[in-house]
Amino acid sequence: MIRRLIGVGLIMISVGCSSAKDRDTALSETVKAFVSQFKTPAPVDPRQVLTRAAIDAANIPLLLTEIPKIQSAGTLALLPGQRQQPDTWFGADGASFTLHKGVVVATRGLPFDLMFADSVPTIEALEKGGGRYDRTYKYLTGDNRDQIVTYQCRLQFQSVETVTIFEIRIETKRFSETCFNPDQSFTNIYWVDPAQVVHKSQQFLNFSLGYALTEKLL
Amino acid sequence: MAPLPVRRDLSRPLGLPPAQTDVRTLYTVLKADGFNPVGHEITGTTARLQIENLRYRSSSQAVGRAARIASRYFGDEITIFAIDLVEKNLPLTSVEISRESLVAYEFNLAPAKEFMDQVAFRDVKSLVSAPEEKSSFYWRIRPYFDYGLFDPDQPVRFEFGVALESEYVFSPSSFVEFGIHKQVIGNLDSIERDSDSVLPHVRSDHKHYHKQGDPGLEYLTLNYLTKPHATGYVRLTGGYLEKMYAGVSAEYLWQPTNQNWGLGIELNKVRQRDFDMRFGLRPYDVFTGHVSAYYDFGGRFEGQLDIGQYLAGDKGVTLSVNRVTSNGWRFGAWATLTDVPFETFGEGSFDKGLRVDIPLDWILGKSSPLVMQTPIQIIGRDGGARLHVNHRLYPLIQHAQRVDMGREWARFWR
Repeated sequence: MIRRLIGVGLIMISVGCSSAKDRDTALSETVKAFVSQFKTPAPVDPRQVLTRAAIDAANIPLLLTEIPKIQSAGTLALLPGQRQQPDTWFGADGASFTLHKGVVVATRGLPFDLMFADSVPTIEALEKGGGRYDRTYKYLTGDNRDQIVTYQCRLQFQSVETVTIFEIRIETKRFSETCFNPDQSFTNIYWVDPAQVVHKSQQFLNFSLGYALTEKLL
Repeated sequence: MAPLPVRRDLSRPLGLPPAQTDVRTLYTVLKADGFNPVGHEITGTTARLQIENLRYRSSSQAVGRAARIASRYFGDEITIFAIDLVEKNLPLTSVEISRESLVAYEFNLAPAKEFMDQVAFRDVKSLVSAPEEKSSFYWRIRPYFDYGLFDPDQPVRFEFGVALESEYVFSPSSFVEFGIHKQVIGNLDSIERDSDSVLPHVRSDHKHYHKQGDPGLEYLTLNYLTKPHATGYVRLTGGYLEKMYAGVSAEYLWQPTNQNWGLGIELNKVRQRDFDMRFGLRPYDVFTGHVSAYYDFGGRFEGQLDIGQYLAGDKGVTLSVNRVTSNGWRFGAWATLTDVPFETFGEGSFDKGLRVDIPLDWILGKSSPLVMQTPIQIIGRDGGARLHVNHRLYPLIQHAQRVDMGREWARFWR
């Protein structure tokens, strides 16, 4: 709110706006972007509009992601032409998720991105059915510096579960990954089929956004 | 909007025919991501891409996004990408990054410093090709705000109005621009107190400009910008330079991109303008100019020292120091001491002021190249007064220098 108030003031008194890079319509674009902040379009819940028939008709890899803490949800499509992991998925709102074998390694275009999280220890533990290891997350601070945080993690098999993703039932094993350091802790959950495909997950991004829920639609 | 990721999978190791350079898609995607693609050149296994950044305040972020786009649409044979930042058709800095480094560091725990060590910053002299647009015309209407502080009759005075600004570019190096201001509301034009300055009234007659110059021609200039060599910049400006002065202004700046200091010289021959801010001139003319040294301490501070002759013909120095944050804020202070004795200068004894630069992307939470530059002159009088002229070189190029980009290099991957 304070930023908005400052913004109103600054937009109103656009004295001395740098002309270094504004040859285009940067100022009007900036004003538009500012005004758009006050418009709060009703969020579209993909669960209300998506159907299995529509997913099958799309015939491209799709990923449903939700970030409950900021009431954000979207259907992401795999960027075409990627033949090596990790793979990056784009949503219509301009955000992207990058996953390595279903484990979130980065986000972009979110208000506070996960710059990178190492995925290999988790993937190896999923293959082994459990384990203890360190995981490291990299963030960008408000003043554009790296913040690198390491957690001690433990992956445990919890149960066999049948998950239903838009009418498709999949037999999975549910694993929980509990991570902590002296200051913070979180728990990720993965639903993995016998071929080690992560069909559904709850994965921690950061303390601003909380968890992302993912479902592999196709 | 999220950036495109680096293209990690070259075709050959996968047994597929190598991907070819696709310039059309490259330029289309660059435009969609807020860049003006100025030109490109392929030499052996190096692709040079020259871009103007129209969207991102952070040059590090702009280079990072352009490099990732380049990795996708230049062919497999390209192993080095040279991303040249261009401003007003001046190539400022070339950032050379290998495809191997892009792939290795995009999703990596290594700190930004380590990645920056993999990158080469180079000086670059010229565009690889003439801009596509031979001429172009821009205009805009925007609100403006002006203010005056510490008038004994009214400590805070202000003016709010509408500005019409336009620019006609008629060659890669040359353009004409003008700005007209029309007050809507304010009380800067109701100043009654006359200047008691014993110096030539180079600034202290400002009340007459506010009273009589509405609407007023703020500036109408012919500008020429060029690079005579890879580390040098030249600006020539002529016409109605600012609200109170017309004349000619010439500036040279020497600033290698890998060096945290630069040197400049600016020479101006100007004549005072009529109070009605139209085309007439008053009798007072003066030669003014400075030799300037710029020093970036690399961490949180930067400084500038100017030595020369000011508008009233007084000679002296201005020292400016800024506290710089790595998200675009600048908090600064300046002071000028000239051969004008304190008692002759009048109230305040010498010229001094504060400066705050506020990045609009911080306010918006969205990309914007704009930075609100807010100088706060404590008391403006005639001693130590400097000419205002658009497109001074150091502010134009500073954001693309290695030391400045290094402050927020981690933003390369945003």
